[in-house]
Amino acid sequence: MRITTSMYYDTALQGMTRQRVKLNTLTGQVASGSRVHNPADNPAAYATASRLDTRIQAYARYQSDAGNLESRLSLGTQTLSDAVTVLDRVRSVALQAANGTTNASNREALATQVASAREQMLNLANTRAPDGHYLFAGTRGQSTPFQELASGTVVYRGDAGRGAVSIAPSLTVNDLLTGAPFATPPDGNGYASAAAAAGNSGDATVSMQGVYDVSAASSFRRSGTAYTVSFSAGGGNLSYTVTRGGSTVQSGQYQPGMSLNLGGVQYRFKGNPAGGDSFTLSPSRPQSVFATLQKLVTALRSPTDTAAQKAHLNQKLGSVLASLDQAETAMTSVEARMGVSLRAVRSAVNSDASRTTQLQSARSNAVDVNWPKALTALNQHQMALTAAMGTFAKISKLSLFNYV
Amino acid sequence: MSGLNGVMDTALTGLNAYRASLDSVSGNISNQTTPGYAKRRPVLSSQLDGVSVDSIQRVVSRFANDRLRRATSASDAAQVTSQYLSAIAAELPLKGGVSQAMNQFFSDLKAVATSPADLPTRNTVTNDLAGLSSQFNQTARSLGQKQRDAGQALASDVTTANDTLARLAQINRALQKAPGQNVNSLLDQQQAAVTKLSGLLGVHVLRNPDNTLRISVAGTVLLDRAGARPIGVNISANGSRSLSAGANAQGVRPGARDGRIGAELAAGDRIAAIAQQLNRMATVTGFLVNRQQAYGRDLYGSQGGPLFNVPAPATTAAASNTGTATLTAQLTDATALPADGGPFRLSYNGGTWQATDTASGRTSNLGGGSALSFDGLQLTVSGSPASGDRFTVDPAPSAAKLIAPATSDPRAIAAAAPYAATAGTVGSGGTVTDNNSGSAQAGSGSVVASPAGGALTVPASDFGQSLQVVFTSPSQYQVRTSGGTVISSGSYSSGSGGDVAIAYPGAASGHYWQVPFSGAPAAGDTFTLRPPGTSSGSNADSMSRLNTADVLQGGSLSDAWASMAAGIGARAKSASAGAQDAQATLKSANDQYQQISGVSQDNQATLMVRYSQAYQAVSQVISTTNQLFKALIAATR
Repeated sequence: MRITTSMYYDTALQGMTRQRVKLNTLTGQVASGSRVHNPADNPAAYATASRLDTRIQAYARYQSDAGNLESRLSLGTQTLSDAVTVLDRVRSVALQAANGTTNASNREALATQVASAREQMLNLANTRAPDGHYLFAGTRGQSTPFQELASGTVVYRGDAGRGAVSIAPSLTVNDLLTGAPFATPPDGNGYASAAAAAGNSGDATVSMQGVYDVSAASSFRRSGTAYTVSFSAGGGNLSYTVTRGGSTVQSGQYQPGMSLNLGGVQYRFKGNPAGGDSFTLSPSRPQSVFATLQKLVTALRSPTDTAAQKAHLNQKLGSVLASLDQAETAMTSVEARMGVSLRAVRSAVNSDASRTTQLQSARSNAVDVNWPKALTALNQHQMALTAAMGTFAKISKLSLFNYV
Repeated sequence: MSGLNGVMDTALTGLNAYRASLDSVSGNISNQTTPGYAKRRPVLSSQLDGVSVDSIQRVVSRFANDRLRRATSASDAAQVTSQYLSAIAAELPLKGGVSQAMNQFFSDLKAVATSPADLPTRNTVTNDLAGLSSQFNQTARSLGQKQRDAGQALASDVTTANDTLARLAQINRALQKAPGQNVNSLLDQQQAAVTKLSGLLGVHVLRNPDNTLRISVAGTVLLDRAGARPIGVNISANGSRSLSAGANAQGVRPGARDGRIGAELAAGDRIAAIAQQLNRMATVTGFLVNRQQAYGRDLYGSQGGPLFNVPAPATTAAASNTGTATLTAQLTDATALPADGGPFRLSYNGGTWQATDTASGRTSNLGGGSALSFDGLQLTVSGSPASGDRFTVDPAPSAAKLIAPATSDPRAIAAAAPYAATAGTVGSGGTVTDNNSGSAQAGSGSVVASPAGGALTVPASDFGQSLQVVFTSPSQYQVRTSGGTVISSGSYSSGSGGDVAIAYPGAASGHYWQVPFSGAPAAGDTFTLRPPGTSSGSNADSMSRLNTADVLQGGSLSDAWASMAAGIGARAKSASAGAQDAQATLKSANDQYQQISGVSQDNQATLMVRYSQAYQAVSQVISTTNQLFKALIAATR
C-alpha cells in the first residue's frame, strides 16, 4: 500500500481529534460527577434517571406527608385518650352521687367538678392541629367546630368529610377527623334509654339490665317509637300497662324488682311507683357528650328532699352513666381505628425511607460517574494523545527530500 | 537513420522525455494540496529512433472517484444530522428543563393537598404553573430556532450548490470547445467542483466521452451539456421545505443521507416531528390537570376552572377540496392521543372518512356521518364533503409554544373534593343535627366514569348545591335538594349498600362524583352532602398523583416524558455513531482515492532522483557522441 503525504496528515489529525473529544467528554464527566447530562449521552440511563428523579421527589413528599399525618394522628389519639380520662373522672363523680350518702352541698361540689370537666371536654373537642386548624372538624377545620350557644347547648358545625393523603404509591390515608365521637355517641345503652316522667311521685326507678336480643334491640332503636310503662293503683293493687304507639303491648300486676323484656332489652323496676307514674323507654338517639354532662350537672343540682326527688336523681344518674359508657365506647373505638392508621403510617414512613435510599442508589448507578473508571480512562486517553503527538512530531520530520 | 547523428537524435528524444517527466514531478509536488488535483504521470513509448512522450496522464480511477463522492455525501449528511439531533437532545437536560419543572409542580401540588387552606403553599403552585409553562415554551422556542437554523443553512447550501453547478456548466462549455486538447487542469477544477457539490447533495454523475458531465439527483437533472438548472427552495404553509429545479420546477428529492442539503431537509421535518411530540406532552399535561381541576372545588367553593390554557385542535381544509364540508375538532380525551401527536390527515372517499397519523402512517377508518371520533378527538362535519376531499387535523397546534397558566390566583386551585358528607341535617350557621338511628354511613367519595349499578344519579344541573340523602325506609332512599325537591330515588339494600352519583358539569362532564353508603339505615335517617370546608385537599392529592400514576397508555406523565426524551436521545446517539461510521467510510474511500490519485512526497522524490539520473545519463550519451565526433574529425584531418 502506498501512503500519500495527505493521507498521513489526515490520519494523524483524525487520531488526535478523537482523543481530544474523548478527553473533553471525560473532563466534563469528572467535573460534574455525572455521566449523563442529556438523553444523547445514554438514552436508557437518561430514561431510568428521569423516572427515578420523579419517584425520588414523590417519595420525599410521601415521607414528609406521612410525618405530618403521624403527628396529626398521634395528636388525635392522645386527645381522645385524654377525653376518655375525663369521662372516667365524671363517671366516678356520678357513681359517688348515686351511692345515696351525699348531701346537697357535696353534690354542688360534684356538679362544679362535672361543669369543669365539660369545659375541659369542649377544649379537647376543639383541639387544634400544629397547622392551627381544628382537628375534629372534618373538612371545616378553619372555624371552631364545637360552639357553645347562649343557651348553653354545644352545637357541632364541622362535617364528616374525609381526606385522602397518599403516603406511598398505593397507600392513601384519611387525614381528616370528624367530631362525631364528641357530637353523636348514642345515649342510653346504645339501643334504648329510660326516663321517668317529670311528675312521678313514687320512688320507683327503672334500670336497663342488658340486651337479650340484639336484633330486636337494633330494630327497636331504628323504629323511633318509644314504650311507655304507666302505673295505676286500684283495689289496693298496683298494675302496670306498657303501651307503644297508642296500643297496649303488655300489662299486669306490679311487683317491686320485677323485670320487663321490651324491644330486646331487659328493664328492672325498683321501688314503689305511685298511681299515675310513668316511665318512657325510648330508642337510643345520638346525644353529644356535652349534653350528657349538662344533664348530669342539672341532675346534681336538683333537690333531693323527698324520696320521689331522690328517685328522679337516681333515674337520671343511671341514664347518664349509661350514656357515658356509650361516649367512652365511641371514643375508644375511634381511637383504636386511628391507632391502626397510625401503625400503617409509621411503617410507611420507614419503608418510604428505605425505598428512597434504594431509588437514590439506583439513580447513582445509572448516571453517576464511576470515579476509578473515569480517572483511569482520563489517564489512558491523555497518554494516548501524548503518544500520538510525539509520533506525529517524529514522523513528520522524515522526508526523502531531506536526503536528496 | 543511423550512425552518430542517429545516436545524437535518439539521445535528444531521451532528454525531452526526462525533462517532461521532471516537469510532471515538479507539478505534482507543487499541487500536492490543490483540491481536485490528480497526480500526473508521463506516458513514454519507445520509437524506432528513441523515446516519445505520448501524453501526460492524469491518474484517476472512476471507481475510486465515485466511491469518494458517495462517501463524502453520506459523511457530510451524517455530520449535519448528528449536529442537529445532539443540539435537540441538549435541550432536554436531566437536571432542569421541563421534566424538573413538572416534578416540582406536582410535588408542590401534593403540599397543597396536606395544607389546602394555606395560601403561601398554594402560591408555590401558581408559580410552578408559570415555571412549567415557560419551560415548555422555551423548549418549543429553541426547537423552532433550530428549525429556522436548518432552513437558513439549507438556503445558503442551496446557493453554494447553485454556484458550483454554474461553475461546472462553465467547465462543460470549455470542454466542448476544446476537443482533443490537453484538458487536465480543467478536469482538476471539475473534480474539485464535483467533490464540493457531492458534500452538498448526493448527486449522480455521468461522464460523457468529451469529459462533460451530466449531474442528477434522484432522477432530476441538474446539469447537462445544455447548462445548469438552478435549485429553488419552496416553503409550504406549515413551514416544511421542498426543492425544485429548473424553469419547469421539477421536484428535487434528496434522501436524508444525500449530502448536507438532504440532511438539512430531513432535519427540518424531524425537528417538526419532535416538536409535535412536545406539543402532545404539553396538551396531555394541560388536559389532565384541567380535568382533575374540574373534579374538585377551589377555595371559593366553585367547581375548579382550568389551570393551563392549551390551544384547541385545529383543522385545515386542503386547497383542492371540492365539497362544502368544514370540520371542527374537539379534544375529548388527550390521554388517547398517540405519543407522536399526529398531526392527522383526514380523507373522504366513497362516503367514508379515513384518518392517517402522518407521523406513524397508522390509519383508522371512521365511517360516514357527521360525528367522527378517533384517538381522543371528536370531529363534527358540517356541509357535505366531496370524494377526495382532505383535511389536516392538528390535535395540539403549537401547544408547547402556547401553553400558559390560565390563572395566577392561588385560590383557584381546586384542592377540595366536591362534596363532604355529614350524617344528619345542617341548619343555619352550619349546625349539624344528627338524629340518625340506623347504622348507615357515608364512605369516601371518588370520581367514576359511570355510576355503579343502582346508584341514585343527580344531574349535572344540580351539581354544586347542598344535597340531602334521605332514607324514607330501610330499603328506600332519595336525593333531595335542600329545599326538599326529590331529584332521584331508588331502593337501598343494607347488605350491599348503595351509591349516590352526582354528574359533573363543564370540563368534567361525563364523569361522576360517587359517594358510597353502607350499613342499615332507619326510616328518616338523613345525610347531607355539601361543599366541603377548606381543610379538604383530596383532589389536590389525586392531581399530584398524575405524575406517577398510570394515567396514559404508556404509564404516567413522567414516564411519557422519559420515553419521549429517551427516544430523541437514542436517535441523537445513533446519529452520532452514524456520523463516526460515515467518517470512517469516507476516510477509507479517501485513502483509496489518494493511493491512486494522490501525491506521495517520497515517491516523487524517488522519481525525481531517477528522472534526473536518467537525464544525466542521456546527457552523458550526447557528450560521449560529441567526443566520438571530435575523434572522428581529428582522425580524418
